[in-house]
Amino acid sequence: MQFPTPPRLLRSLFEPKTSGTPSAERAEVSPTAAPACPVRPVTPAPDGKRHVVERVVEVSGWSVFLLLIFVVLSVKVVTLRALSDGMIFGTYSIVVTTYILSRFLLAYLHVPPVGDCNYEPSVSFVIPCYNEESNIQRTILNLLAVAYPRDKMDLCVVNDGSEDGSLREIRQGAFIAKAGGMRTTVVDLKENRGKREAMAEGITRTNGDIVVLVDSDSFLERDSVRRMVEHFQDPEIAAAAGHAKVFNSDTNLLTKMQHVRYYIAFNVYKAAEALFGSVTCCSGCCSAYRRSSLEEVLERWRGQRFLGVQCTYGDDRSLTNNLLRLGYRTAYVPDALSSTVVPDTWRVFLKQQLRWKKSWVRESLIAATFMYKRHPIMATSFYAGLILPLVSPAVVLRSLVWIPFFLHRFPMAYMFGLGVMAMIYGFYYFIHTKDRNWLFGIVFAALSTVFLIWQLPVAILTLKDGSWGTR
Amino acid sequence: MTHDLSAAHAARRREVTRRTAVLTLVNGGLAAGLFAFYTRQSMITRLSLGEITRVLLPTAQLKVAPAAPADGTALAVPVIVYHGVVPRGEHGNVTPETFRTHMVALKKAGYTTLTMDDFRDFMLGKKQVPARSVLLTFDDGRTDTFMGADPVLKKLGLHATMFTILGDARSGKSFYLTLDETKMMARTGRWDVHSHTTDTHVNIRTDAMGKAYGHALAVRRWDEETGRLESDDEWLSRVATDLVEAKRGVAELSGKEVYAFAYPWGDYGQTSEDPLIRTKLRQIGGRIYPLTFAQQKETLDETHNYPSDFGHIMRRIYVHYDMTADDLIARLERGDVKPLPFRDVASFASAGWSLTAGQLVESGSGRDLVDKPGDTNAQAEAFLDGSRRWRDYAVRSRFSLQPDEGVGIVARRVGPSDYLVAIVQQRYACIEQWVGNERISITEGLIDMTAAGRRPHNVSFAVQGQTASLEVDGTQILNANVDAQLSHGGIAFRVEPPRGQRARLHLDDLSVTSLEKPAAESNSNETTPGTVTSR
Repeated sequence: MQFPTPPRLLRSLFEPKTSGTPSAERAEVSPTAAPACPVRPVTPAPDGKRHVVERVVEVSGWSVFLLLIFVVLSVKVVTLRALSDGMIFGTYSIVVTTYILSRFLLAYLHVPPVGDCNYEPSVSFVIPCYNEESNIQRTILNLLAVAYPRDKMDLCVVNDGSEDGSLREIRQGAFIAKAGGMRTTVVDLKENRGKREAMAEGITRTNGDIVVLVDSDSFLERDSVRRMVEHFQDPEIAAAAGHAKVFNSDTNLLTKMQHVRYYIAFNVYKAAEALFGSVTCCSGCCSAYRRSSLEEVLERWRGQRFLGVQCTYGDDRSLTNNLLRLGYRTAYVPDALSSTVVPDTWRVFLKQQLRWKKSWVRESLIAATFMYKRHPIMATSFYAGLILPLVSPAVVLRSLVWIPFFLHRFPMAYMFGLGVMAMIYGFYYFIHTKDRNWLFGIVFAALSTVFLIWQLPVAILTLKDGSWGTR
Repeated sequence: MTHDLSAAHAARRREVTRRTAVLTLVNGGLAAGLFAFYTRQSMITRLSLGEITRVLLPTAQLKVAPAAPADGTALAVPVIVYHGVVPRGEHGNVTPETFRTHMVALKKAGYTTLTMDDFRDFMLGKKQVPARSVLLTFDDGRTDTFMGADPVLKKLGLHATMFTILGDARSGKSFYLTLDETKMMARTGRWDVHSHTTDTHVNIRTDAMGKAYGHALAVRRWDEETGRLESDDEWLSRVATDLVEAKRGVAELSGKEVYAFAYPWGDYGQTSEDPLIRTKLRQIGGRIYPLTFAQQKETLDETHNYPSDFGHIMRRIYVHYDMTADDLIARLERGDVKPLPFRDVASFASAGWSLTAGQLVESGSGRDLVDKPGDTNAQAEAFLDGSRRWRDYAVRSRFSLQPDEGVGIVARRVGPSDYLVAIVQQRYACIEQWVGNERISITEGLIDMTAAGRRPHNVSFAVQGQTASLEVDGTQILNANVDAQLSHGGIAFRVEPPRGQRARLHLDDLSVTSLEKPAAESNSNETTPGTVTSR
């Protein structure tokens, strides 16, 4: 596979966005002698004691991964020849392969910038909470462990009119947080006004330079804040998304599958977008925003209407979109880890997926009006990523209904392609985590391609229906 | 502490460089691999998964016990024609499974597949080929044909000939093998590549309205500009240009001389009502290509090609998709050259009996030759495939005659329109000679066999050199001089029903003995010397 763009464009990706040399920039940030930053290796240094077996597994994993890609490409070469016979589906097949494989390639090229530990702006955490009594306290207490100067942090928990014991849990958590030296505010909205309102309320009540929006069921790891904050040294960056893991990944098959899915969604898809500073969704689980940028878009975001209806769901994607529209860059921080609780029943899961798809449709259409201004590769893949899922139901229908039941043939090519692509996802996850759950990832990839895609037409048809619909 | 930070920046830059380098290497490797894959074995890249599972995997597991080679050499060779090898069989397109079972059956039955050179040399009488030889051909140069057939040929060590449509190969349509792929096919050594026209394997318009269409070679084209059908010269020019271009173009692909040609749809003008096309098309074809091939969907004609046929159009057995391996072998064996003396163990018992009209139905002993149901007053005729090389012989038969029923014993039959026939009725007998579908002579006489009633009669028809003689119940009835054009040929029986009744012929006995000098026939020691003519 070759880049379709000249190398000049590629090179520009790695050039620092700030003016001047790194040292000059650093001097500006910390004029006085500051404590030395520990130099973090970009990749963990090879540890001499690493187990041989692990090494072998890794090498063979990569070999299989590349072999699978080779197989897919070989099949595509065949498809290229057959293009004249089936223009539409042949093109689809080639574009979708190119799209998916390019995600891996671009993600690999994404190397997070070097951060300066002396850059320490004030940080505000905002946690909107609605009926989350089982997790909210844990979420709050988790923040106490965050490695960042305590005096530069503050926390605002907004109770969005919860009907369960959330408020009690919040108060209890806040009490402990205050005792731990964290400046904490609890806002009780009395009535349910929606997540956006709750978030907006929290944002206006705080004043940190950086606002970290945390879901009421997400738990930040110790270094996450610092990792995210580092990115804001680049003045063009308005938002940075952390990496969310699945907290309850051991519960059942469904959460295991989502675990792999989250890994791929963040480390492949978001990382690929981050290469161009255009992460399209800084997920609600844990993302940091620059207050100055946030304030530019806050009102617009808060009152967003689409098709004449007040937008309730899709707050995170919408917020990111608003920032991207103004030309800001958004980052993905792979080592800013957090865990989030995912649905463990199919009913809730499907509901959540539908909601995500709705916001994806809405926000992608909005983003389509300005994405062309971005890096050509980013723009191309954005529009491809917008069109492909829309076409996909037709392809599924043709391959799984038309070919077997009307032409009485086994949809060999489709099944093969699906299988290999799912395996590529699975192997990518396995190589990086050595986790045996990679098999569930394969199942999920196939499942979502064949079944979940059908939510998309439903999502389009029910776009106006703005019910809150999570848990 | 500038040091730490710049070290970190340096580390990041190194990492970026490293990743870029890794990706460049990996992508370069992938691209090189794909390029090698595509150029070296461009055929393989066109394999679909269906072909892998339906063709390659089963073929890899094929195990065939090599059959003992047949003794002796062939006197005649059958030619088989396949078209596509497709997942769902239809018309002349067989499934990979069918094709595989056919080839395995051929192999098990001890057949040798000839190269086109062998076949040509055999037809020219320059070369002897094994007794069970067959020429395997495929029409159209389709991709599915090659993909489906080649692995089987390779596995079983068989040879085939592809009749390629040059224009379609040039078109780059994935349905057909491209020029490069055709070259590669020729290079495998398993395939001969010959001509199946350039652009005339299509139907073209033959009237002003655009409603009538016909096979491009065998019709006159409607010329839009002049508003008329093309003239003799225009037709000749168009057809000859196409055939010459194919000969030249295919030779570029195969790297060998192209001397064989298959008429599209097996249409060499035989059914055309246009005298020009009916006579000239086969002449042009034969002038440009020494070996030309038709295809027979019906079984009316013989199956095998004899060296004496050189210069005519070769017969090919058209394989219909539902033909089983047994059907195929039976079809090939039908035309096996029959030695003299020939004796049928029961009525029409030999596998060589082939119908030109009517049908053969099982009866008490052997089979009866009857007309097709629904055809009243229609005659039925069966010829003995594989008897065409016979020269001087006596056909001795015994059968009953109904009043007004006529039974014809055909001898020196070289085709459906060239033969000698002795027709016997209870009160009448004649010997007719037919050449080119025209009766050139008739010798007739009156007889009376009514006295015998329903008792069977011994009827003997002997041909020797230039004479033919008919004998009924030991009495010679007719004698005729045989035209020089009917110097040899096989036998057939026909029955003409009495008015308003059904035709039915049961042979109580049939034997054919040679009348040639014992020295001339190698296996004449089985012939009883005393049974020769009763002149």
